[in-house]
Amino acid sequence: MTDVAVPPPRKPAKGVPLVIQRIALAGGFLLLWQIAASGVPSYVFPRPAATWAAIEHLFTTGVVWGHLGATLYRIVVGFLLAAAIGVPIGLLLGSSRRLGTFFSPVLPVMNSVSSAIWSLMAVVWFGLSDATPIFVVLTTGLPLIITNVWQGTKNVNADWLELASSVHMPKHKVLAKVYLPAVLPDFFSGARLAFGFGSRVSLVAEALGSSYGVGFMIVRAADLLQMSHVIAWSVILIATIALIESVVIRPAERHLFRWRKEAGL
Amino acid sequence: MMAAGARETVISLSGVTKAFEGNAGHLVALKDIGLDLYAGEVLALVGPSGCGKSTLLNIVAGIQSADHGTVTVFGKTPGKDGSTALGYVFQEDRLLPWRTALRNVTFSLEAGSVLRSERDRRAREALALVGLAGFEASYPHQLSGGMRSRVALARSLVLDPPVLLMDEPFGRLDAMTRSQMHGELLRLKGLFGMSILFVTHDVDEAVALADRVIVLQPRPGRISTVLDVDLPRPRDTAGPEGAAVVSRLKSLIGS
Repeated sequence: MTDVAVPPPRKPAKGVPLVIQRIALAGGFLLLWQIAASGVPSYVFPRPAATWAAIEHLFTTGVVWGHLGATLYRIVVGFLLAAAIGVPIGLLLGSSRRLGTFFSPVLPVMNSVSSAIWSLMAVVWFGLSDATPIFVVLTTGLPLIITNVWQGTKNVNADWLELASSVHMPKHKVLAKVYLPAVLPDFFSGARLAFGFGSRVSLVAEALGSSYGVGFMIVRAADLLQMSHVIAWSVILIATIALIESVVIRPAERHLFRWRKEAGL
Repeated sequence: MMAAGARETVISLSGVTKAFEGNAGHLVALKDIGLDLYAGEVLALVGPSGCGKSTLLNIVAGIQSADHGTVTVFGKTPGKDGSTALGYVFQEDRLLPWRTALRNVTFSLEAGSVLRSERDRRAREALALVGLAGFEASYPHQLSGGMRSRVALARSLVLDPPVLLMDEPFGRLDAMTRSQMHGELLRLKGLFGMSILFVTHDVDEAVALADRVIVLQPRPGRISTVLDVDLPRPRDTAGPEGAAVVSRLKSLIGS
C-alpha cells in the first residue's frame, strides 16, 4: 500500500482569512456605490438601499419567480440544445481530419456574428415566444462548445486509439469510450463559456423579442425610469447564475474529474 | 532442441514488406520478413531501434497492414472480420487516466458484447492473477510504474488470448521490477499456455525469456539470424551459459 499516493492535507491560507477579504471587497464596493449615487436622482442612479428595497419588493410580491423561471428555462434549454448538438459535431470534426479541414472556416464566422443579429433574426422567425431567446442562446453557445470539444480531441492520444483497435473496438464505441471522456475537461470549459454568454445574450433576446422574462422586465423598468428595478433584476440574475455555477457545475466537475491528480484542490 | 516443424503454427508471416512516406522520404521499415510463431512458444525479436519491430507487431495485431506479403493469424488475415483479437502489451502502459484499474482491464472486453457483470468478474480475476487484488478502485496516477505494468498485462490477459504480443513492455521499469515482471510473465504463461511474440532491444531480456530469438537489422528492417536458446529455466543471464548466449547474440547484432 506504500505505493498509493496520498494527497497532501490542505494548507490553511496564510494572512487574512478569505471570508474577511471577501467581506472587505463587498463593503468597499457598496461604499463606492453609495458615494457615487449621492446627490444624483434615484431614476438616474439609485443608492444601494433603494436597489435593495426594489429587490425586496420583487420577492415579497412574488413577481420575481415567474420571470426568473422563464429566463432560466430559456437559458437552460438553449444551453442543453447547444451541448446536445455541439458535442457530437465537435467529436466528429475532431476525429476525422477531412471533415475538420473542410468545416474549419465555419466556426470563426459563426463566432463573430453578433447576438443582436441572431436576436433580430429570431424575432422575425419565431416572434414573441420562448423559441426566440432559446435560439439565441443556442446559436451563441454552439460554436463555443464545438470549438472546445474539437480542441479537446487533440488531447486524444494516438496510443489510446491503437489500444482500442488492438482489441477490435468498433468506431462508435471508440468515440464513446475514448474520445468522449478525453474531451470532457475541454467540454466543461466550453460549457461554462456557453452558459455564461448564453445567460447574457438571453437578456438581449428577451429585450428585443419577448413579453415575459428578466430581459423584458429590465427594458420595461428602464422605459418607466425605474433604475432601481433595472439594477435589481440584473443583480438577481447574476446571483442566480453564480449559484447554479457553484451548486451544479462545479460539483459536477469535481465528481467527473476525480481521477485527476489534483482534483478538488 | 524441439523439432519446430512438427508444432502447430499460430502466426505465419512471409515476404512481409512495409514502407512509409515520411518527411525524410521513402522509408522501408520492413523488408521481406518471413517467420512463424509456434503454439506455446516464446519468440523474441531483438534489434536496435529503427529496425521496424513495433511495425511488425502492429501488422500482426491488424493495426497496420503490410504493403506486400502475407500474414496469417490462426489462418486468418489480422484486422479482417472474424480475426482473433490478440493480447497486445504496449511499450507504454497506455492506461486510460480517467478509469480505475478495474475499468482499464474491462476496456478490452467492452469492444465485444460481454455482459457487464461477466466483464467485472473476469477483470477482477485478471487483476488478482497479476497480484493486484485490492487495487481495483485505484486510478492510474495512484499506482507505481510496476503496478501500472501489471494492470496493462491484466488488460491483455483478461481476453484469455491465444497469443500475447509484447512491445518492450518492461522497458521503462527499473532493473529489479523488470526481472520481477519476467518471473511473473513466465508464471502466467505456465497458467494460460499462450504463445508470446516479444519485442525488445535488451539482449539479456531476450535470453531470459525466449525459446527462440530472431535478430533484426535496421534500415530496412530484415531478419539476419535466428537463434535457439536451449537453456533450462529459471535462467540466469549472468551465469556462464547464459552469458555465453548473451555475448553471442550481441556479436550477431553488432556485425
